[in-house]
Amino acid sequence: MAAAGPLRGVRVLDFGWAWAGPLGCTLLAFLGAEVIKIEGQRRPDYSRRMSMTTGQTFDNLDQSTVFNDMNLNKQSLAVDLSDPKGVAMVKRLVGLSDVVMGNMRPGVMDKLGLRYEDLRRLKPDIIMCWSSAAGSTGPYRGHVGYAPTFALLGGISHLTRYPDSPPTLLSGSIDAASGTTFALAALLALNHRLRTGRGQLVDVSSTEAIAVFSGHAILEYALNNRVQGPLGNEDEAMAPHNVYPCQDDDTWITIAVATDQEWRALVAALGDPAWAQDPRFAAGPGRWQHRQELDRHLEAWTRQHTDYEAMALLQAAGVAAVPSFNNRELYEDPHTQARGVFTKLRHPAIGERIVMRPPWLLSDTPAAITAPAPLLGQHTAHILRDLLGLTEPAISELKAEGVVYEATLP
Amino acid sequence: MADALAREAAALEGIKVLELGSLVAAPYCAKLLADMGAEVVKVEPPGGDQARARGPFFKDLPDPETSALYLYLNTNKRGITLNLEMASGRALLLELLAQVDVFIEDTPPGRLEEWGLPLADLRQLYPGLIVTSITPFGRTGPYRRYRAYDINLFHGGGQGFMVRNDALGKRPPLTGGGYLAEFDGGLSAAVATLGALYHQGLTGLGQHLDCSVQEAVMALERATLTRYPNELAGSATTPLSAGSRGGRSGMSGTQRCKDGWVTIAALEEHQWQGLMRLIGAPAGSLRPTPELDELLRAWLAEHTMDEVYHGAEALSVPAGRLQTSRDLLESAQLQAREFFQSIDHPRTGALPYPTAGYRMSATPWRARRPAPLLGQHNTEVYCGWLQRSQTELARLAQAGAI
Repeated sequence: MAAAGPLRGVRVLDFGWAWAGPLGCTLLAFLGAEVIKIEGQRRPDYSRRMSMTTGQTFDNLDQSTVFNDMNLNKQSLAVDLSDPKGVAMVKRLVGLSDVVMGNMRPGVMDKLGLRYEDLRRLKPDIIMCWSSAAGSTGPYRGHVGYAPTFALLGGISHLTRYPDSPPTLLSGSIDAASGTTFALAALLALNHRLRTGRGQLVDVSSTEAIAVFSGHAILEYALNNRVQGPLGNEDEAMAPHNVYPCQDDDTWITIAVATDQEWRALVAALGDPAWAQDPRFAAGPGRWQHRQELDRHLEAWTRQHTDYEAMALLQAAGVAAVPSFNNRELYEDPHTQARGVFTKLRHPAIGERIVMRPPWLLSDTPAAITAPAPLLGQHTAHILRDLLGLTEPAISELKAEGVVYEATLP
Repeated sequence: MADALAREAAALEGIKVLELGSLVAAPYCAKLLADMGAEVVKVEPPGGDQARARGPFFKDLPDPETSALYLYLNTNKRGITLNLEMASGRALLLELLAQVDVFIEDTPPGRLEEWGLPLADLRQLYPGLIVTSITPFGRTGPYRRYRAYDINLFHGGGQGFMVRNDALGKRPPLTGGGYLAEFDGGLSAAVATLGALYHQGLTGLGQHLDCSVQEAVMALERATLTRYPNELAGSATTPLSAGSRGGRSGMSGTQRCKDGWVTIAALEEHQWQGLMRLIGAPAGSLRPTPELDELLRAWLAEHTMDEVYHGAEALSVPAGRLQTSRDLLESAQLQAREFFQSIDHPRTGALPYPTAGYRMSATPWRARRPAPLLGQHNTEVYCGWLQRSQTELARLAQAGAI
């Protein structure tokens, strides 16, 4: 058994839904926190049924591969929150927890009597960290959204397009970036509580979590009264700076040159072609001014190479060149293989799956995948018995009444 | 209440951080800590962080003190200069490291060793120190010394593949706007750093964190990139464009409306029914059909972005409208939430800076200081933290060490 993660001993109640909320809690679970996912049997996490990003639907609530990827390392308590007994159970759990997290529309917890003020009475130093589309204050506080709406509303879509193409919605990565911000916010509060003993309420806005990525563009408007327009793959100063086609169909390599030294390295790697001796290309401003011509020359070269050949040749010379990797390349890539980015995991209902390990390597308290995502209600009995001290007959009665649900392992 | 807030410490009060970073990823990681009250000292080479050379600049005049990119990423930090090519500079770095809880650095793997500062030695010297290394591809593996800028990492992390779609035709896959991959790399590294900081607070023990920007970008697609080995292996790669444009066909993706672009993501049944009501579709329209697509297109053509957005949200239908930097600054929602805070800077004057994606009730985001001028805090840090006299400082400057 490897050493535990840095958040060992921290208990999180996860009321997350879809991507941003659950992923934020999973990041804490990767770091060693004990995360208990609270789900209603009648209204389980949306990702158990379908995924907007992958376009998949799942017939069986325990067979969602997307749910598995977004909820690794967690326990599941399935409880009916429309029953006062269910809410009472959750309140007892709050008293035993450090952080309560979720991303349902603001107001959902109020109706259950689980506002921050309520939680604080149950556990004075509790941290409540809640995420929503636009935040819990302001005129748009009740708004609902998903990754594509955050991408447009947060300003990143405007910057991700060719000047003459529709704005790009990017992908589920926008939700995941919001979920990463969610985890960051909870960790800030945990560090504060560690040093002061005080909890607090944290209000995360997915739209704002994306808007911070345009900080320089926002400042540019404030500085120069100019809206930064979409640049496609160009840069405001670097040239070459683009995505170039390679030999095989739909394969591409990115090349970016910032300095004269890198330019000379590129020219040498290309074999000192005559066109590159053109004095217009000798310095940065000239290269930028004539970037389209430069791109045509480079493209003629990249088309003669595979993306991997081009990367090896250019990187050997010290030029920043990396393919636009597709999913197959990333999985089979010698670098991701050497770093063990993909790893195997057995899920009781799905079987063996390839999953991605946490994105950081911690030397002394490793972040790790310790368990697959839970079946709905997989840990119900364990939580009621070992955390809340309920007897077996009491648990059986709650199950019979439909207040809680326990999964049967296949 | 306001008085109570003012008395409350910042979330990371008392935490000291040394940043040796340039451009976006490492400086953003350190900024996230500085914004919450950590005392961050940024170490720059005598020529300055590369971000100082990148625009956009105030009035478009290149000036290392007015780069919007630099100003944004380095608010709330102090700044010093230090020449690590010189042995005397490296000795000062070691002294500075003795003072801090966290060292955030983005040197290429091997550089610290060349400087005679291997990580193993740093850890032995300072057992409580957290070292967060942020590099394009991590500190191990065949690409560890490969060079990469933001465009290389966005595509190298698989995002370019994820956003390929039919609308682009044969054009090259697009890159995320601004410095998206580097921002994601810095954000991810900050999460790990705060985890390690929590452990250090409990045990006093530091550790080393190997953070790869490529992996941070890939991690955002943990549910999509793994579909290749699990479901698609052996077959041709399948760009997930249908998925990335979302949900029910024809009713998502970016759609043109009367005055711009919107998206509608009616995933759940009640949202779908809301959308049908909004566009006046026949009651009981259960599934997307070419006729409904046409009805939606026609409806959108007659409605503005604001009408679509507010009309949809009033019916609990998730919707978005295109927002530019100016729209963000003028957004009623962001203004009501005080998302922008004014920070005065000696060269540009006061500007509205974006704060953070979170509001913390007890430890609010605070502007403490603008981004540092190059070497602005040399005296404060070398004479204060390291107890050097003014004479010694002048000697170090003359020798080119700072």
